[in-house]
Amino acid sequence: MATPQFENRLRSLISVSGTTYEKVVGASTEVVIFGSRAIGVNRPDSDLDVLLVNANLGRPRVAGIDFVVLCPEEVASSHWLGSELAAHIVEYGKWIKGCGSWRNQVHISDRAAMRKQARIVGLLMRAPKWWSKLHPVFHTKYKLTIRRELQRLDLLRQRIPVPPTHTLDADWVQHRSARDYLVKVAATLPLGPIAFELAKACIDSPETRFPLSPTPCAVGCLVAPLRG
Amino acid sequence: MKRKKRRTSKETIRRVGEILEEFLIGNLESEFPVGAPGAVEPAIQVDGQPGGPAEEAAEPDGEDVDEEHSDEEAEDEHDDEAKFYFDLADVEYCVDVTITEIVNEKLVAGYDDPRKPPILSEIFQVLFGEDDSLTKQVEEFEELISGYDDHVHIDDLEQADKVMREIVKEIENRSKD
Repeated sequence: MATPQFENRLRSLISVSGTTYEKVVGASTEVVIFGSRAIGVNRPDSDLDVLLVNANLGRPRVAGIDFVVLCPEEVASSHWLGSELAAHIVEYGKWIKGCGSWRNQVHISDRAAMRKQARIVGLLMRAPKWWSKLHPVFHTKYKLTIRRELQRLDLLRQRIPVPPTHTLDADWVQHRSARDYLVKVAATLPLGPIAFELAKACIDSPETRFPLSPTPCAVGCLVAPLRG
Repeated sequence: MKRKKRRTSKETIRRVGEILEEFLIGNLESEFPVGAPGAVEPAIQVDGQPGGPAEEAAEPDGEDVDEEHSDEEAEDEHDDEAKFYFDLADVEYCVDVTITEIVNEKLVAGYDDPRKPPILSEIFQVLFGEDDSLTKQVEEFEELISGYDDHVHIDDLEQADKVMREIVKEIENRSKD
């Protein structure tokens, strides 16, 4: 169950936007905080991630909040129940409204892992076409994205809910031995030699080892798969 | 902190419009079936989509009607995925190449922090202000291309293309005023 701090933060951020707490939260059947703030591994500038179950609401635009809005039918769909996000929310989410009656049906589907694999393959295979046209800050962005997505793929294949991004980063910084393991994960993908080399470059890139928030890794058990 | 409306030179506004047209609209058109006639096939198929091994594995055995029905539904769903959903990667690269051009031409300054690569709406906030209609339209564009579950639907891409064309048209008008 969520502590009042989440509700207060939500109320405070919504109050300075053009909408009202009642319109966003009051009209939703379920409201769940997820992501880094839900488990306290956020950076000071991290957005608050919020799932709203609401049949009639468009996605509200509120500074500092990243909303995901689903209608009740979507929440009951096999697509949602087997998704990466649903599994993340069930594992790490804090309900501030509603009970999440769908929670027990959530599982990580083969499809979720296949989609993640397709995402990584897409990023790597298309990179040679775009890479030279990108500013160096985007090189870092994509290297970071690919390394994180490989970590997520590995967890999804093991049917482990993916933790918040900051936890993945903390895990990566603290366990350098995970490097060889992640290269093995990349080797399972249908990549050509150039794309595979890029995957290794992303894994080895020192640019993607940013200093992180002082908050320690909150989900220690999840680093085990990456230690190999 | 809220970014207020700024006075940006007409020359800068005009050049931003040209870059959006050439690099964003142009690249989206060449990568996806939007804007121009002629469809482009999705370049990467998700494993298990039509023709893949998972589809063969999902062949109904005819012993269980419900299961068969369910398999047909799954195949239809996979068909829809292949036809209507596209990988996000090309969309992301198109947008970031466009931002690169804007940054490289020094039309906006201060975007070199690798920890926080710029997004298009932030650049528009700097150029036009947070409450400007162009900034709101770019936010709508970003929302449309953000996708769901690592994929983006063709309807959203088409709508994003329309929004970007409106943005370019408005920029063109403002650069003439």
